[in-house]
Amino acid sequence: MNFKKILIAFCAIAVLQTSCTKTFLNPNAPDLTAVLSTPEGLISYIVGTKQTWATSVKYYETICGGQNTHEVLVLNNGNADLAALYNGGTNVGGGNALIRTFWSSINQVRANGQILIDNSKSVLNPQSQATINAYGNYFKAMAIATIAEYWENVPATVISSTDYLTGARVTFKPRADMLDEAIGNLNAAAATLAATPVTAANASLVASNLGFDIDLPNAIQALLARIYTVRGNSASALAAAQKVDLTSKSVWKYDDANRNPLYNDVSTNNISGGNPINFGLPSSLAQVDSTDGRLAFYLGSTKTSRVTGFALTNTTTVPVYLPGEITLIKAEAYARTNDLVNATLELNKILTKTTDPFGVTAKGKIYSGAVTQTAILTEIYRQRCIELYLSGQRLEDVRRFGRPILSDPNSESTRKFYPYPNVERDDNPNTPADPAG
Amino acid sequence: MKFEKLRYALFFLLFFTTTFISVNAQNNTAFTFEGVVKDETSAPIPGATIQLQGTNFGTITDIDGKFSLSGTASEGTYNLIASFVGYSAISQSVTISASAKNATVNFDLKPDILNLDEVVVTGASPTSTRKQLGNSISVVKQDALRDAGTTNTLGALSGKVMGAQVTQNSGDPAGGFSVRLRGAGSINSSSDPLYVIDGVVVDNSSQNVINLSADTQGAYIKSGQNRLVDINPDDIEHVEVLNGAAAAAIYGSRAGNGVVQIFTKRGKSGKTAINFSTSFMVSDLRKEDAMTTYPKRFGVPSSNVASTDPNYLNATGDRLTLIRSLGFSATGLDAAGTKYTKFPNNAILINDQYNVQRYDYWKDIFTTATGTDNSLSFSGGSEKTQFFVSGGYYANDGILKNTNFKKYTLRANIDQTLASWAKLSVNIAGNLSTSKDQPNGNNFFSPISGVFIIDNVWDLNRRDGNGNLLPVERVRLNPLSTVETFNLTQATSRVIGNVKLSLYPVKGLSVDLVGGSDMYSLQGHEFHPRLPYYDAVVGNISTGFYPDGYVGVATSSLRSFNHDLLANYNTTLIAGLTSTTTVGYQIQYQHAEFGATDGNGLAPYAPTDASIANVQSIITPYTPTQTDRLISGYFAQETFGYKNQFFLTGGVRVDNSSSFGAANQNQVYPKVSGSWVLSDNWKGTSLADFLSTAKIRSAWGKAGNVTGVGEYDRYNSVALGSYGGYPYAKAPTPFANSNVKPETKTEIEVGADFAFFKNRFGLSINLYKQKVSDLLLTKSISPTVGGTQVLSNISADSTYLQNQGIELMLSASIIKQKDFKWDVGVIFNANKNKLYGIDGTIIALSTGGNLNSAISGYAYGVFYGTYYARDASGNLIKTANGLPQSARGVQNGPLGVTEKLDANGQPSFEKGTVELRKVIGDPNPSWTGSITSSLSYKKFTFSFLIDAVYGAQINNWNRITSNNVGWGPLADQELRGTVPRGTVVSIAGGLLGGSRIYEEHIEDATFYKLREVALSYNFGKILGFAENSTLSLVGRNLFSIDNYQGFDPEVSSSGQSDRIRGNDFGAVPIPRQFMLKLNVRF
Repeated sequence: MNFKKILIAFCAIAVLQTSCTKTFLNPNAPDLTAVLSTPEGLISYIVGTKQTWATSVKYYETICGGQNTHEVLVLNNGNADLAALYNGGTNVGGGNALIRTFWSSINQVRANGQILIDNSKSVLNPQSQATINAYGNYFKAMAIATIAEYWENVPATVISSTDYLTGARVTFKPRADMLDEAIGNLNAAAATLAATPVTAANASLVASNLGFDIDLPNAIQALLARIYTVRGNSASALAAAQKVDLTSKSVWKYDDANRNPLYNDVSTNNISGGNPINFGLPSSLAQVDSTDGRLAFYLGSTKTSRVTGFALTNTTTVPVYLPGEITLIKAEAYARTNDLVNATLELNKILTKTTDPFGVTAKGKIYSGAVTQTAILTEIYRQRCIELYLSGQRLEDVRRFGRPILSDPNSESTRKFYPYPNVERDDNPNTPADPAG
Repeated sequence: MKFEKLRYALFFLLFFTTTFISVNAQNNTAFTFEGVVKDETSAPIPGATIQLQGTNFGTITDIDGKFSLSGTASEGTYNLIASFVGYSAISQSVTISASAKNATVNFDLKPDILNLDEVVVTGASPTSTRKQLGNSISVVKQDALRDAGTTNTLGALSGKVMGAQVTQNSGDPAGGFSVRLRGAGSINSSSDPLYVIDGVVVDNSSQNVINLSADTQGAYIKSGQNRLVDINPDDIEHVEVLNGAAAAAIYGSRAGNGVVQIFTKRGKSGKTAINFSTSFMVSDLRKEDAMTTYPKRFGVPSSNVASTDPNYLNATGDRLTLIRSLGFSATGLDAAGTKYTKFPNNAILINDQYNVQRYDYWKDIFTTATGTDNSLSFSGGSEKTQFFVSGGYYANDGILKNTNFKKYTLRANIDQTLASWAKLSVNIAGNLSTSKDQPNGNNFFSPISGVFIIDNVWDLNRRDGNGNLLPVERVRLNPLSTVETFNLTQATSRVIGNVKLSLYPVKGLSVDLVGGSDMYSLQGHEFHPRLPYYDAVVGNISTGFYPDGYVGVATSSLRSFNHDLLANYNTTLIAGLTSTTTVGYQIQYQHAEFGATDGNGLAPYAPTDASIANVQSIITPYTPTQTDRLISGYFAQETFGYKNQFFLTGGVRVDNSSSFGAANQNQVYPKVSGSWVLSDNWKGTSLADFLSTAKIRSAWGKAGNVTGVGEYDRYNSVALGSYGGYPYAKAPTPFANSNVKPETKTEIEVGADFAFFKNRFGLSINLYKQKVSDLLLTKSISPTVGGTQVLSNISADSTYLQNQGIELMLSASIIKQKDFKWDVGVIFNANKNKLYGIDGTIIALSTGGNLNSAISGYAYGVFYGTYYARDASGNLIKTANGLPQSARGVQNGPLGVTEKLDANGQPSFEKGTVELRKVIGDPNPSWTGSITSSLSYKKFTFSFLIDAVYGAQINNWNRITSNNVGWGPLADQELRGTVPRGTVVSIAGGLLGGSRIYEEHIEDATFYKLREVALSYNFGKILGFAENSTLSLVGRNLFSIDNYQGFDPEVSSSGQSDRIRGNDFGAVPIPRQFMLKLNVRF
């Protein structure tokens, strides 16, 4: 009978059902908890934070500050947010998309630093633990130092996403306090690495999964020297600078998938261009000598608007810090303590340099200006502008050396500090008041 | 566990009922019924449906209105029902027995303009007539779809469905459509309705597989094809549209935005009919966006950029929108004797002009395009087997040069009677859709955008000795390089099919088991050649334009299955009281994969249209992702009818979705509705001559939106990659929230249907109010936490998205004589969308520069931005130079603006003041409507459809950029001196500081469009050749009345994105199209 077959088929199909309640796990990516609970995961988290810095923060600290201080020019008026930074003053508002993304990226790095510090305790291998802890402190200090360069107040706390969802919000402290905290972080990192040296030979996980593109013990001292200088602690700055091996190289690497973010912006004639006039220095300071090797290095020899140097190609490596900065920090520390002999000595090392790990060499003559504290400090400022061109340092230098800050294209910076992004203010009642300019 | 028990209970019930069959399936007798179906003018009705009630035997009438229905059924008395759209169904009693098995049965149908007897479908089965429904339902028949002149079925629905706004987002030959039923239904996710074809849930997504290079330039682009374009409109028998939650509750968690059910044609037993149609189409650009012809430019030619090319015009220095850093120093200009104006803030604008030649670029990139649409179908069958088999070939070129769309379709719908109580139906449709594209709107690669971002002073056709196109403005692509040398293609292979087993075990009971699947694979390929623009001095153009060549490939694939079991039981409980019980379950499983990779750096010797294997640097490594989703649900619905006058329906669906955490996986969606056909009380009286039919109805229901969150959004999934040669893991910047639950839409609808003057005029009214609660919002968070956004429900009672509105449909059969008929239809929909309860925040719906925002007290997606400073009487406050400027003052929250003026009556720059922002426009229309008319005289038919969209606004980005670069309407006025020097740059925000004054570019998007117009001649029967044949001349989008300064106010350059509506930047304008169509039935 026909109907029996149909009936059997019907019931067979109806019964061939999958279970109704189903939960799918994400097959495309692991969960964060899993990543943070393994040494391999934490090491990968360091690499991820490096990637964020190299491809995002590096761009914003360089370009935002570069526009304010006229190291670079806007070539295309369609980029209104860039133009606003160049013009400075009231043109820069909390809605500026560049400032917003800068803020998001840098605070991500700061939060990551704390996450690494907190999770390092559970790692058993001493070298892995030391590396994770030191990187956590280093990232945190680096983020604080960068925030403190562009904003008057710095987030003082790090809260978890769970706390956020229940209403907690970050509080702020003045930049000086937070720079002191960053100094503490760096000293802790230095102590950790001193107690447990990490080398390719004794830390196989670090060697295979993280590498030594950043020479951490040297990079920590370089950053310490920089922060002490900002805090006006010349003795400590000098001490830290003297611990830095000037032949050591720490770099941000780039490849096809992680492209040098400066290249597309300042080297391709589309968005921004290098300021061909004296690296953006004001006319009150002496023009850069046309034979200065750094002119050819940073701006090519043609003086077109295309920046070369560390923006030459999509894959050009960018230094974490330049050895020249360390030498100039020493010069400044001597000059500020009125040791003009040693200050001139260090300054001349920059002026006459013919070899440099990164190729930044002036190949010029020794200092021949007035041997007064003011004159030497001014020359140190001028040399910082040239030697450290487009490395995200100039806004701090303009303030520290007391250079004019006005909403005027002829001033050396069009902003002193940045307003806090709307995206922070809209969600965080602890956001401090915006600076006047 | 609850589900498991329910399931077993259901199986038990089924087993019991199916076992019961054996008693019934006895004494089969062959029968034949013949007859003619005529209308009230005694004209035969071809295509009327004849159905032997309670069985699966049915046929349709031929061109002379004749039918013959044969089969084998158990002996007894049956109702033979004749029905046809626009007429009341008529039922006549027939007897099947050994002695009386053949009979002649004729029908004279009476008009029913409301179609109350039309059978409509719930779930997978026809379960009720329109009369019983408490909610409105729109049905669009094949006649209305056939001559629409569009290959996208959704386009053919435009103006034909109450409560639906159908928008063509792009004028590409397969340009995407958006359908919104009763407004936007979600803030965070799609407002797209659920699409169901013959009981199979089908995908209508818009996958971006050819704009990877552009994806890096903007977020939320969903331009390109929507996948319903794969369906052959000629295969469609009719479309049913359920507008809201009240109607769609039975579809549960995916039906919050309504349901569009598509039914394809089926064979009827009888003589095999062969249908052939062929058409030829011509389309062109309806209206140009005017470019200035003024033969001068501001500035000094070739002033600050050297080049080896003597014809190379300097770009940036000559723009209308100068910025100081690139301007000229006053000293330098004074020395050269150049005239200029110096503005406050030290900005300088040159007033000198120099001669240039102006070009009309539209002629370079647009063309007149042709196409063809062919379809052939066979349908017929024996008493046990019926079939409909069709094939189609569509090929149409786009008006943007080097674009096309081709579609090959095949379909077989087979119905096999297994026994008098069992039928098996198999539908299978396959297609291959291919297209050649240009980069889509909203990015700088699109040739249309490309024209909008360069001044029209370059000759696009200039070539070097090797025939290579030369560069235009220094930093831009020559749009012709894109048109001529880029190659973007995509291809979709798709199979949609289902198997349905229908059982009629006992009288009144039907059980349907449906298994359906929708599977496709979509591949896109994007090729940019090396750009031959290199100049020894200025170099090449930006690496963002990949001067060394670019290749991107992407694949998207989908496997979707659904499995439905539905039992329906009709019975009379006591005299006059009927009951219809429907129970069933549905399982939908979906597996989607998407993978893409791109790279740049092609060797000079790389082949044309090179594959990804040729690139030297990979930008995005191939990282395919896969998602799985399972939704299962049980539902039950009961309808009581009293005297065929009162109907009361209650139903519930319990859904389980894998997208949510365990606590929120199960959701309950109830519904209640009722209707009352009042006019039955005055049948036969004189009142019936005036008010022939009157029905009132009401419905309440809930539905959900499970697609509101991504399948894995509740996990804190890390981003993986490689940096510096080592693997990295990055914390997700959107914080995961494992507690999210689906949004719920609750809707109440009341309505009425009236027919007047012996069913010559029909009027339907719906009033509805929808509340979407538990809103899912992606909110920006303070970045100091270490993230950027979080997704969460806002479950406060005061927070919801509301749609309320009215829908009216008027249909009139004004003249109805044997040789002369005139039908008119009017549809009017007014929807008011408003968001409540997220006070104090603005949710920016795009991370790019688009203005669409969600703000309390306003409709979803309003434009929020800067506006003009105005005095008390509304006049612009201009600067001393006569330039417009934006309002300034103190901004306290999104809507708290306090405008401030200084002592001179100018906008204040005192401390604490900012450029103010407010709501400056709304892309949602205040109403939409349409007028249709069909006039037939003897063998001629003339019909048209006018679509209206009133009160919406559009953000004309094209005009922003065309003014900035120098050829737009304001730029033209500034060049001619009719507005002060600096007007364009003031609006662009570059002269006085601050940002662009967005208000300037918000334009009225109201339009009245001649959507369809058709003139056809019916040759009728041609002896020895054809049973019937028709020749039609069809026009689509021929004419538009609007005030829009751009091409077309209907387009949306972000495509089918629900977040970004009403923006026009580089969208392909909708062409004007003529089509000549021949339709022959053999």
